[in-house]
Amino acid sequence: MSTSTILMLSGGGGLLVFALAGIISWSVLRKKGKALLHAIEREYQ
Amino acid sequence: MPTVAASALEELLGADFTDIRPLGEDGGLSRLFRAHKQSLDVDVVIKRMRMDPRRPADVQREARVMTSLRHQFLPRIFDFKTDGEGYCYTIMELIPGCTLRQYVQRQGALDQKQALHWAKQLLEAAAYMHSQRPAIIHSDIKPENIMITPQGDICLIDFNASLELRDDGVEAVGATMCYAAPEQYNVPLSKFGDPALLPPERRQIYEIAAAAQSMGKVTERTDLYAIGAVTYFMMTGYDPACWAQGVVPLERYSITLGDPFRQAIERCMAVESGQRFSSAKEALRALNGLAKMDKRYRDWRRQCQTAALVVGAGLILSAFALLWGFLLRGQETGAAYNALIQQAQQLREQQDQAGEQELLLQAIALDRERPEAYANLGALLYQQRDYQQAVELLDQVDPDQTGGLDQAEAAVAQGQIQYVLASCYYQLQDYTAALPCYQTAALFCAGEAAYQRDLAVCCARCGYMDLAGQALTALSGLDTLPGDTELVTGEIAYAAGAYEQALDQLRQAARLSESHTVISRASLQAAQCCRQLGDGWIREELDILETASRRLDTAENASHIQLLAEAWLRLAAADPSRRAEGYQQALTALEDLNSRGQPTFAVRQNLALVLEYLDRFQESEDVLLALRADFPQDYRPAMRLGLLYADWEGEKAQKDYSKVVEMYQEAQSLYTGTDLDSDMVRLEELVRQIAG
Repeated sequence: MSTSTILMLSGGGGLLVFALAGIISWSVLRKKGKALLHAIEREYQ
Repeated sequence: MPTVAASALEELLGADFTDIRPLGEDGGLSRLFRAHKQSLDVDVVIKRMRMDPRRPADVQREARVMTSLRHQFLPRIFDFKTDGEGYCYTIMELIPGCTLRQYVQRQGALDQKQALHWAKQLLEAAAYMHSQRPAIIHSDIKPENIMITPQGDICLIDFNASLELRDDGVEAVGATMCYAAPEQYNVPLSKFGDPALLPPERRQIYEIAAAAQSMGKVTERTDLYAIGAVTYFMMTGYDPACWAQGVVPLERYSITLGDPFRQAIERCMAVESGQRFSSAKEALRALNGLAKMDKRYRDWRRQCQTAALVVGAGLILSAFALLWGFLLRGQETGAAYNALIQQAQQLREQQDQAGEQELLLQAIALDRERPEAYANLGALLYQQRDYQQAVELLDQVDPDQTGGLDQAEAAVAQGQIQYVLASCYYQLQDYTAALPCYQTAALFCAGEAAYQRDLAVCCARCGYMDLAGQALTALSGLDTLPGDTELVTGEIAYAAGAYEQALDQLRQAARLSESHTVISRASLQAAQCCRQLGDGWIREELDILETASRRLDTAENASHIQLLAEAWLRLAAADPSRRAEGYQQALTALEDLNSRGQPTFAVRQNLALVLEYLDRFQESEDVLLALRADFPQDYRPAMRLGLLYADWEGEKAQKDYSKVVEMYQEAQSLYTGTDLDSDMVRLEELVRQIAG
């Protein structure tokens, strides 16, 4: 397998993986943040 | 202070106020009364105070400001009056409920929800006062001056110590221990007199004032200190110590207090006013955003930032790798393509045409944009005389594509492609298709004499004599090879019908040139000139064709040998003395062509004909039967067989013309009759005679 093919495959795969990771982590952290903010605000209100 | 009769107060305030009675105990500097304001049907509080003789002119102005205040957490001040004895009367809305101090004494320290709720309300009231022009500073916010209404809200009362903020601050009027900000103690020490003579409680105040000399003047931030102290009281149930004595940190108390709230209270109570919130609004914003200041929330934000950083870096790196791969791929493809071209070139030198073709096809599959492989493969197919396949290959090439080559290299490659394509069309005798290709090739490579030469020849073949003349002129300015110019002038002369002149030029071209292309074309066209001139030139034609077929390679001289065979047959027909020689020579030529594999229809038919002329009927029949089997839809094999059988039966004693009739019928069924065939007419006549 040529260097360019390896680079393209890894680059494309990396884009896919990191994009997925970004979507999943954004979704998880957003949910966590909402719940956390809600819980903290309940302590003050 | 002497007690003022309610009736005297009635006299001062007027009949609008009824049921005037004292409220609470004598407050020292002030006295409170309760009354009912008839016009508004509300209970009011009347506060009687001695006016500050140092500020007599400010009283009226402050009264106007106070009466204009309207806020849900401030009492409504209805009126402000003075009597002639140095007292002022503030008539304000009666706020039911208890003071904050009373509330905390009864209920105990508050939870942070409640404390936060009321702290925000205090800040809203303070923000409102500070937003007035000029800003109003309460300067005496303390639990005693905060009412808790039955609705559960606060109401900030008692504006006696309030100040109008002018320029960058005012001097403190009064200070309540624990709740007063340090700058409220910033009073001239001369007011205390000799400190050595002060009683202990005054001495304490003096020391505090001495410490406060650098604390600046009273500003909006003074109220913030007090609000912070009140919040401290609400959370702990204890008054904060005076700032000068060191306030006990909130962490020391066993209370549920979040760090952000604690930090906000501590910031409000900063000794240096510059370290507190800059305004009540800012403090309020901080309290409204406590959740986001919480350590758990900030940890979460840090997690988000880290995740964003990692994902972002990953995406950027991946995109970079992908881009790099694309760029590298272009370079690798180019290098692989060049390697294939070089390897193909090596195989060409080794005469390995199959291997060369394979490599060139791989190169084309690798990069369809580059023209080099197309040019080389086209030349190879031309060399193999596979003109149709070469045309199909090269016709799909766009003359404008450069395939990443620089302009000069692309022009050379495209010129070569167009020249080979044109040459293929020329060999297929499609001169009309060949002409634009020659023109394009000459345009790309204006310095190539061969391109101009063949363009001129093609123009002459198509009848464009002017264009042929122009191409000849262009050719004369180039570095031509021997025979090039003669070939062109010969073609032009032929097109003009000057066959003898053309013959002379073309013979010269064939003699002078070392190029097999020129030799081949010149000799073929010269032979054509001889045919145009008539049977008297057959010997010339034979000489031309024999010379050419000897000089050309086996792969190049097939057309010449075929024409040679036809010329010998014409000689045999024209000169009876040389008939046998003619047939024999024709037979030799045709057998040579037949032995090379895949002879054309004409070659096989002529071979059968010559064999018949030489009375070798069986061999002739074998050739014609094979031809008939290979071309079942062609009438000519059947026709020739009919004629052969007629000729053959004529030699026999016992004649049987049934096969003649049979072949005639077969030929007749296949014959379309669009082109009149004299042999078909002859056969028909024969059959009629046989039938007759």
